[in-house]
Amino acid sequence: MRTKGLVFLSLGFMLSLVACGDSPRNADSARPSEHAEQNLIMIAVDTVRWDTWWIPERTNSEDAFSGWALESQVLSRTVSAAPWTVPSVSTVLTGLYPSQHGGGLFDQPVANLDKHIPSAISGAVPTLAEILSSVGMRTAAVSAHPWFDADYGFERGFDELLLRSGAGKVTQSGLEWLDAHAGDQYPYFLYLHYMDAHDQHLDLTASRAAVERMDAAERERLTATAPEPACEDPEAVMCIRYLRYAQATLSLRESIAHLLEELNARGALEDSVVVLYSDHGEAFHDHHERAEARAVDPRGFYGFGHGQSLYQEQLHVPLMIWHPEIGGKDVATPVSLVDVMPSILDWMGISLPEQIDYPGQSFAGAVERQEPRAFAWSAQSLRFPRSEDRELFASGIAYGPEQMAVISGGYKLIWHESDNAREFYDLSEDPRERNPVDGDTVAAADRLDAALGEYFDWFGSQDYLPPEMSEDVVERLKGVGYLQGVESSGERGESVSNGEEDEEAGEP
Amino acid sequence: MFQLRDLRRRAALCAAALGVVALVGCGGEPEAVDSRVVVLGFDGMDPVLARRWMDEGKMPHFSRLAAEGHFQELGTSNPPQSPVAWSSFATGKGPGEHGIFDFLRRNPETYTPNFSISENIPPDRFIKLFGLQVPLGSGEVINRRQGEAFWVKAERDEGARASVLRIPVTYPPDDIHRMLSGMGVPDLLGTQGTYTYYTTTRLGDAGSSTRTVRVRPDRQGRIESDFEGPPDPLLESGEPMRVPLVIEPAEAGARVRLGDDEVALEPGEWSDWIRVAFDVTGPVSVTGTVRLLLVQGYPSPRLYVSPIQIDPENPAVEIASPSGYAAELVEDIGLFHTIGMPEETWSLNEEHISDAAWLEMEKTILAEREAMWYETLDKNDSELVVGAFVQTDRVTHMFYRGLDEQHPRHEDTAPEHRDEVEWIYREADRILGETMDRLGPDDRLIVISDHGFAPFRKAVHLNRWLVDNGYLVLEDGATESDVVFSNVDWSRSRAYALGLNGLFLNLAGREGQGIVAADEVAALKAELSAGLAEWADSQTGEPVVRRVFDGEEAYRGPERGDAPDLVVGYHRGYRASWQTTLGAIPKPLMEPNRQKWSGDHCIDPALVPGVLFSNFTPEVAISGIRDVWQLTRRQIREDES
Repeated sequence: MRTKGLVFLSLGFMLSLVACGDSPRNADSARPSEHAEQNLIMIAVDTVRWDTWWIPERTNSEDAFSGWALESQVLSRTVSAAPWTVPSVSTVLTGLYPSQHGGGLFDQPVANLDKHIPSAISGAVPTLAEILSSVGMRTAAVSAHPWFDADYGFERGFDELLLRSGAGKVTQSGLEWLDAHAGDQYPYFLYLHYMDAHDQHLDLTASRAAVERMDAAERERLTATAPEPACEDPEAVMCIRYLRYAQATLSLRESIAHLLEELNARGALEDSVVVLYSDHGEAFHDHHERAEARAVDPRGFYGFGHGQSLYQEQLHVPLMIWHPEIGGKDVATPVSLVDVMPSILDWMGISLPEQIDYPGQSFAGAVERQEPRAFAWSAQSLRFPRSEDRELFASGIAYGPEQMAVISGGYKLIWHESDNAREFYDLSEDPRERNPVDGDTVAAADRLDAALGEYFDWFGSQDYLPPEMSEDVVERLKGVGYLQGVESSGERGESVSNGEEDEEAGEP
Repeated sequence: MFQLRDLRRRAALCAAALGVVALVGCGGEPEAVDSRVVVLGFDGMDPVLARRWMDEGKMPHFSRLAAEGHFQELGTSNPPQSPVAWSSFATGKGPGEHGIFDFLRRNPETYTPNFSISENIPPDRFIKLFGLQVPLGSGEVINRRQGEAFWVKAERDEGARASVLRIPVTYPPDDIHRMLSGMGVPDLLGTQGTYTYYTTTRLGDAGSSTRTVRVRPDRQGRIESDFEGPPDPLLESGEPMRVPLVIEPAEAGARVRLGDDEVALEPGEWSDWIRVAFDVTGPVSVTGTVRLLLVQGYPSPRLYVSPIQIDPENPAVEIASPSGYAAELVEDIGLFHTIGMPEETWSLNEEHISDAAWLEMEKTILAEREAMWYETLDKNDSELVVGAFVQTDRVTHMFYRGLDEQHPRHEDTAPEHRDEVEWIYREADRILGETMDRLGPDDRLIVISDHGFAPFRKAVHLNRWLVDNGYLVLEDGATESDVVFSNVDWSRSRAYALGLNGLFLNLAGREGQGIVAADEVAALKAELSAGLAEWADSQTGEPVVRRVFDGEEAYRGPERGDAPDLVVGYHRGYRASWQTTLGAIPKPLMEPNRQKWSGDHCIDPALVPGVLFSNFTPEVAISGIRDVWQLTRRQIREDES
């Protein structure tokens, strides 16, 4: 029988966090033995696909971000641990997989984020902000994502949490916070979460209007970058949505460039590690046919959005680092967002909590060993190398029965809990997962399956509990497309409509 | 067939004994009894339903008994719950004297509920050795029921040998001629019935009676897991003992290997008994017995494993008197369910198993009970024979929805399962016929039930009513509470509900954080009673509560201190919610009962009397179940004289 997922956690760590929470700032003598010399700036660009992020490079053009990209270390094969925000951001902020941190899970046979409130990060799991705070860093988060205000555990360890909407305000509040603490003697951790690519394409009318305003050349350029088959018909709803999404993503790139310029102007990049990541991608009918054939999405539409499958358009995400001592590099080693926390702590010279057996690995060494050669886009970057046989996992379906995936040795296995079905893909040859391969022809099939079996066993038998949520927070989450069927008062977590009535953005 | 085996076994025993010492009575049949008093209980048999089916000719033996002897309604206990009523039956006393007021008893210090019927007192002395804790002495199990059962008194005062089978609240067994304990006997985990459910897909929340194990088949469909037994008593860590469990695809369903046993099952098929041996650290092992049900087959198999029964051939605790009696029974009738409440009903309520699978289990249990009942009657070596069939109660609880067209679950009860209550009454009639066939001309037969039945259409969150009316106060910011009043602010709370009918004041000096002063009690009880009497169902306008009883008036005797301050007698159709019984406070005040547990009786006792039949006319007026004690005593004494 499986052991409970979190029994390996000890209260001792939490106690030590409490014990040294604020004291370092008040008295130098109380400064912990471990402390950071560098600042950390994390930038989350919610809902950005790997391939969409690189549209300027893919179309041989440039934008304000292009120059920053050349100076960064690009982890070009980064896999998210989950296809939607709560479990994925929880992974970034805890260094644990969803089964271990417990965030964003559903105790239901068929998850439905429209109707059920997902679980929060387990209280026993320390967060990155708590760890950095415990070594004396000042911490602040500015987020456009309402989940940050919903007691999911994201807020833990941050001295300040500011909720702002729109890239401009997120950036502005972040910079104001920096300016206000410019004279502090202690390093800081600033977390900025941008939502600009998340939901603009959900509003079809507005999307259509925006696309109609595009000039023809721009529209043609973006159409050429669309995943098949979204723009087979350039007037199709899915193509309009994609074009709006691409436009929003490009605009977000500009916003991030602006942020980096402002940080640079303040000298903040000289003593900071800057990490940019996306928590998950977005599907534009990339796997519509397969999803429709399985027909397990409780909303009744298939292959659009995120949270409903584990295909690469939702898992392959940007991850970029700017480190003052390391120039532009292209690091093709496959990594997971579960590696982000160990890598950051590695760079900053801070140990991981000993009580926890972290599944991630620091990629700091891999980055440093890599020859200096700036990342240049090519379709090759979609392919995962055969040579790397470390196992990277993903799970955490928000709409439908649970699925789990493992990527290793260039292969990927997606396992469907509801019917024990398996899909194998060769990501070295078929990175867009067009054609599943027969598992019997994959030499590593049993190894991948056994690895997923071990990952499965990390799920505890404990209940994954949703937090108490105020009506205000429920309303704000509804505003960005979540919890559409959850009543704001009365019996929450109960089904209130029968599913067929769900419209979301309508059948896209 | 078991009778033949029985004779053969007895012959062998006698032959062995004769080799050592001549034994009285071994020469022939056991000494026959001239006349007996036979008391047969059908738990939950309702007089209205019985009369209906008697009138329709569906219960001919009951009709004959009523025509040739006696039939009347039998008042039940207050509250009308089986453990309370059967305790009154056994002792002839009320709850104030026998001390059983509910399925649950509360600890006023902590407001926590506990099982009321029996209590396991662990050994308090251990030596700790090499990381192991070795118990010194074996601990103790006590029956919390006070007072003397009539079978004990009959043996002592009249010298009447008594055989008592599966009467509720008889655990641990009394030291009498022959007893097999009933309700109160735990499973091997020490609970009242915890099943294990292996599933490859996630389930919604399940109650505490369930151990859900999520498992994942490998590419060949093979599932490797463990089956957990009780904690290793020698290990300080409390780690459970385990046996390996493997599920593999098989042609028609699945092959399951549990410990050393392997069985192939089709979907919906039950296994025979499987004996599971849990190895305690060191050379000892504890055995229990389980049955497996393959709920569904591949690609997403689900396997149900019954609560682990105390192995009657190697009982971990005494469940019978004399202690070898359970093992003797196995020789005669094969392995059987030993847990006090043999029908594990929660799996059906949670819809983890189907109506058909549950009924299949019920038929097995009924056959076991019949076999041991007839064996006892056929032995004819006891002046007093007492036995109860609880199957009437369990089937009625789970299938009232078929009978009750107004029940929220009536429509989706399959037509073939709508008449299961009638089926179990017909079965009771058949068992009565078999029993009457086995009686001698001078044998006196008393047939009783402990209570009747009513529909359970709406679940009443009584604690929510107390919150809404200001008697129970949640902590600041909390809108609901989990079990055991997790979010209650006791410093501002004056009353709380716990158990199926109990309402308690938060009394200063009695409750752990009591605030109600002694001189406020009478007024507060009056206020609560009046408020509850006015409570109307907002959907129908019907009253929810029919009568509220003052515990001080309702109960007399030394155990009265444990009694609820008020006992809530709900109206027909209403019952305390499961959440209320355990001190949880969800948001709604009342909910339609959408569970399969669709009939109940924990309401105003006047609405749910039981039945009394006898093959003679009682000499005295019998009004309630506690009078059966007098009636039985009188028959025994007549036999004696």
